[in-house]
Amino acid sequence: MLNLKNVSVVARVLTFVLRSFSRLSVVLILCASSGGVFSAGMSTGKMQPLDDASMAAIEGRSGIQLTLRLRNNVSVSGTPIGCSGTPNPCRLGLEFADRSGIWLMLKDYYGSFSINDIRLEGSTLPVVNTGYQDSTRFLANDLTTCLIPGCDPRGRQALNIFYPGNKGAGVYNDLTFFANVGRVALEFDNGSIPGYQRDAATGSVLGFRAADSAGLNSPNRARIEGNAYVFGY
Amino acid sequence: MFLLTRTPYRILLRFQMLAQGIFSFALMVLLTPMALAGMSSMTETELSGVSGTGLAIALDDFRYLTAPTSYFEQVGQNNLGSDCSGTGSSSSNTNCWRRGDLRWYGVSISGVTGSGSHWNESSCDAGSLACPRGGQISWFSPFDNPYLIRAWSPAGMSFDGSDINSDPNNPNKTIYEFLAPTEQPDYKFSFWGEIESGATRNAETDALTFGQGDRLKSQTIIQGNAAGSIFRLFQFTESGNETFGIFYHSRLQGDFRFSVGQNGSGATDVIGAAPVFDNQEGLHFMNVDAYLPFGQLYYQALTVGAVGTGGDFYLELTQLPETANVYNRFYSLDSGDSRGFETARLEVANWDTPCASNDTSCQNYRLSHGYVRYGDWYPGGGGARNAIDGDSDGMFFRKCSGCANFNAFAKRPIRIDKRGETQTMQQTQNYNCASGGGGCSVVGGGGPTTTGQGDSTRAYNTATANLGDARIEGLLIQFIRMESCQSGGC
Repeated sequence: MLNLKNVSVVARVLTFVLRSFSRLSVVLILCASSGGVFSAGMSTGKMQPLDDASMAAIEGRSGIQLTLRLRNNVSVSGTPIGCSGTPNPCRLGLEFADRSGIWLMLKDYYGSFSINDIRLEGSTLPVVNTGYQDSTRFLANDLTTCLIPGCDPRGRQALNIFYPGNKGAGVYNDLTFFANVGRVALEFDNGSIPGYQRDAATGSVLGFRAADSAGLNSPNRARIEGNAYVFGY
Repeated sequence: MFLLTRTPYRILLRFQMLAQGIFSFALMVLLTPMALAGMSSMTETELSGVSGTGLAIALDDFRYLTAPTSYFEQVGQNNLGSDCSGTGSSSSNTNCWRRGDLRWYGVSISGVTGSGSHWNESSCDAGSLACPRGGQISWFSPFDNPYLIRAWSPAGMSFDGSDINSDPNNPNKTIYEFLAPTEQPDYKFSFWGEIESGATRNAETDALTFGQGDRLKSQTIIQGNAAGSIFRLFQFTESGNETFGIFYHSRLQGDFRFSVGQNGSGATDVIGAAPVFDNQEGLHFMNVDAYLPFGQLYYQALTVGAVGTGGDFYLELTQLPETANVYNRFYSLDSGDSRGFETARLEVANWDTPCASNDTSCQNYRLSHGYVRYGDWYPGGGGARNAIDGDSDGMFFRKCSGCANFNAFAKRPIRIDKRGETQTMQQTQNYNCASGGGGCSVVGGGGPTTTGQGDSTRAYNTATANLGDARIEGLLIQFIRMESCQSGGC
């Protein structure tokens, strides 16, 4: 059991961009579904209806292109918002099982995360093994029963998540990540005040940042190539 | 584009496990659109063949490159002690604890073939340890031997010595696990780094260029794979300490290079600017094979807890319990061996022979005992002894391209005087070289001996100094504890 408490007085903004790269068919449903995913932890937002022209342009259902942007206590430019005062409200607390009332606090906590134009489509796995085959990977607890027929995934259906690999040298725009944790220390519940709202430990063993040397609060940038095949068993 | 939320709020999420939550988040994002995208429907046969146990992730033509100027940083705390203005043996230096910052730039996973590149994007040979980044990795995670994420109930032993999940059809404890392929191709894992001492900037409000300290840039390249590694999360089983437990069995094999020398034309000491490193300089570990087990199902785990009440915390690999069932499994001595010497001797001698399918003692021994092997030589087996200047196996230091050779001095004691190495009974074997270096014929040959600590003038003038191969076997990790230390609090 692990409890997380995220305390902040400023906005978090979560943005999706869904595009068709090949006969997109279900934008509205996808949006609704995605909203449902995140509404578990966040308040429900309003979706935009598709106009007639957009609906008419829908042709098929081969795949989708997805952009995900998440900001936590920062503006679009990465500047922290409202992260001041005592205690600084920009913080994340973790409470582990059997450690009730003791919070591992990530203080002065803010950042952003963005996946740009990742592509998804249905696919099938190859029909020829790779040379690294290990059928025991698909065995059940009894180490005898195969969880997929013949413990053989060849030709099975899979979700293909991919980026095209034809980007030029020096292009790093598939994933951006900015994070700041100014201090790390434990805080303890004190009467009615939960530990995650206290700042009794003013020290810290270290801080953590993920950024880029281009400038203050510039996000860490990465480039991803290849195909990820995800399948169940 | 649409907005989900832009209002102040506070959330409470209860996750059974942190990583489960993270993966749930990621997988819901990725899989929900998939499910609703109306792709090809599954047949009844296919549906009946899915157990719901977990997810398999195969990665083909894969490459992950962080921008060479992008970094992950550990930000140190402010100086302690004196004003830290001094140098050498002055009190304002020796009484000072300087702030240290560490930054890892350009963290990359790439192939050992294809188009290689230095940190400034200039090209290099992807198959060489001179080249930090390679091309794409074909079947980095093979589809027929993929990364696995699953909830699972493997058998194990509780902290009190009782069996857990002994009946696979009626398990009583479930864990979350993330498994690497058992076999995968070699790839490159690389980054360059800055170690900075004495910085004065506020990392949250100042750019890197402000308040700079003294810096050392370095490069790390690992060329190999981590096949067989296992990461697990479970509830620890010690009574009264049933907390969040982490298990990590690390397996690494391949070559490792750490270097600090930069290439003349690509060199830069500007903070945050990516240099090009020399092609060959540095400390090398070749043909490494390492297995380090941190945790055992279910009697040992990495856990977190409080140190006092001042805010410090510990990360601990829990201590092996004084319970016969547990330590007998942990030590896994052969029948009739009460002290462990014979078991260890046989395990080392038969290190390359698989355990028999019914030999649980051998299997348990190899699960709990780690090893670190440098180089391809092993007792009684294959592999050749390395030449004194060998640069393809074992551990060696190598000079930078275009640099002059250096004098290697080996201080190999063949008799030790317990009063100290300068005493008369100490005897040291020297290189078989002339004084001042040169004129050596040292491969496989011993040099003259000297009373005392050795003759440092009998040095070997070389471009590479090979330290040889080494093996650490039977590595038991019974307890590790690391405590955080706030600035001025310890």
